Amino acid sequence: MAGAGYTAAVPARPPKSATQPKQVLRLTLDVAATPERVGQVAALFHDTLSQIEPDLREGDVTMVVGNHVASAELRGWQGGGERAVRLAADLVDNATDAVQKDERLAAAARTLARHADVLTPYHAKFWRGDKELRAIDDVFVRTMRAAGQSTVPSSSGNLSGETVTYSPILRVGRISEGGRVQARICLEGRPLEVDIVPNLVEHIWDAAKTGDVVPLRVRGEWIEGKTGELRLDKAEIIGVDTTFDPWSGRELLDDVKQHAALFAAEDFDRMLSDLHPGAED
Amino acid sequence: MDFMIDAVVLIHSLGVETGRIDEHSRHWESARTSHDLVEHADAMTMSAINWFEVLRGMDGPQRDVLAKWRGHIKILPVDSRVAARAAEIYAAARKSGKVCPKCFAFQKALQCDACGNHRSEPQRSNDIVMVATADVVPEVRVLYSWDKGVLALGEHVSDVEVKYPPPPRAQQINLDGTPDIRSARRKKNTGKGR
Repeated sequence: MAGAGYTAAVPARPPKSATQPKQVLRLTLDVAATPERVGQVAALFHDTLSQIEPDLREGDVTMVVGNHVASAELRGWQGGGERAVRLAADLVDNATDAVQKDERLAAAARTLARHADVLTPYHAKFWRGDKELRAIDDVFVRTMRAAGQSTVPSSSGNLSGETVTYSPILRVGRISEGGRVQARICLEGRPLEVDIVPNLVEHIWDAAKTGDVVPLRVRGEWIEGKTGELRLDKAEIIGVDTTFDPWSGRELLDDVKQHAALFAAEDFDRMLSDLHPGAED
Repeated sequence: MDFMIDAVVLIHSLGVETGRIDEHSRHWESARTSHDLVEHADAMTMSAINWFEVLRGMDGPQRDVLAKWRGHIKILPVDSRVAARAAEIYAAARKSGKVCPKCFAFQKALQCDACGNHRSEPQRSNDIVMVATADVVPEVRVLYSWDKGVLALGEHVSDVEVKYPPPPRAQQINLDGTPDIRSARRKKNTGKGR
């Protein structure tokens, strides 16, 4: 406990300069105070505060433990301690708002969710001074978990995989004597030379002659660009559909019109209802 | 490849073209707008997730008609890059505070007029994947949708514009110069607009 900058003492001793703590967060459990439960509560406070304010000094926060029914009171006395207890109470009170205001609280919310999960059978409640904030129940745990996941994950790190892209084959050939046959395609808005698996070279030649847009199955690795966008690297064509023939919207509609008898008005009501349970217009 | 459409836009178009959605339908205003968009498109582009949404609502013979379209429209895949982008959009939407922290429903998502529930979790996931697909493919500049939840997701992407389909290009006029009956009915129902 001392390492985290606060003291678990019974009763805690406040700094000499202060007579009343500036921030108080209390947790009560509707069960007797066994060493195990006191330990669980102490761990909840310790780990949560460590996430909020890792550099608390000794005496900034103290904890008073009640032993009639299990309860623990976290007292923020000064500086970082006062702030840390206030933020912890804000997080308990409205996790979504608190995390929105300070992204660093997301980690504290996850920690709180983990510890609160084991306290749900005890009808535990958080209090800010005399005001009841929240009961620890399944909803509280889920809310904390959700708030803990509210930060935007980074897409850094390379992603390997396959994709399908639509492009004409702009040219086919070798860049150097004895090198692999490559195709120049339009990939993600820019021309790019990509490798071709050997058994597809003939088909790629054919597609290049027509100049048509064809679906290409491409394998590669996405790397993150300077502005955060992902670009395909080490790309290799592993499939091509030379029969692809893009139709205009009118051609598609003409095709379905020929088969209008297959469709009933109820079919469209049902399909739209599946997608839009409410009225969109 | 300038724009992408969601499943509703295509279903609307099919309904109007087959005459199964007409001016008496509550979907008429949006359906005829969707039809106009598709009718004038040089080519069609959809996400694989939307293609699934179209096909899943059809029975065997209907599905057979559309199955061959696979060789005539651009169906953009759900690949690992789309999955990564979808996760980012989902997290950003949650962080925006416009999502309920308990059930994760988008507050702008449509509410069912029968049961009062918002859209199901799988449907929301489909929407996010669709928006992510449109966002990561550079050639797609606009995604057209009628869904307010999808439009709300558009606030979290920067490389694609998510908006309602544009109004029909021209009012139909009969040869004698009078407005087409469909146009007249549309005018009468302006209070029902989106």
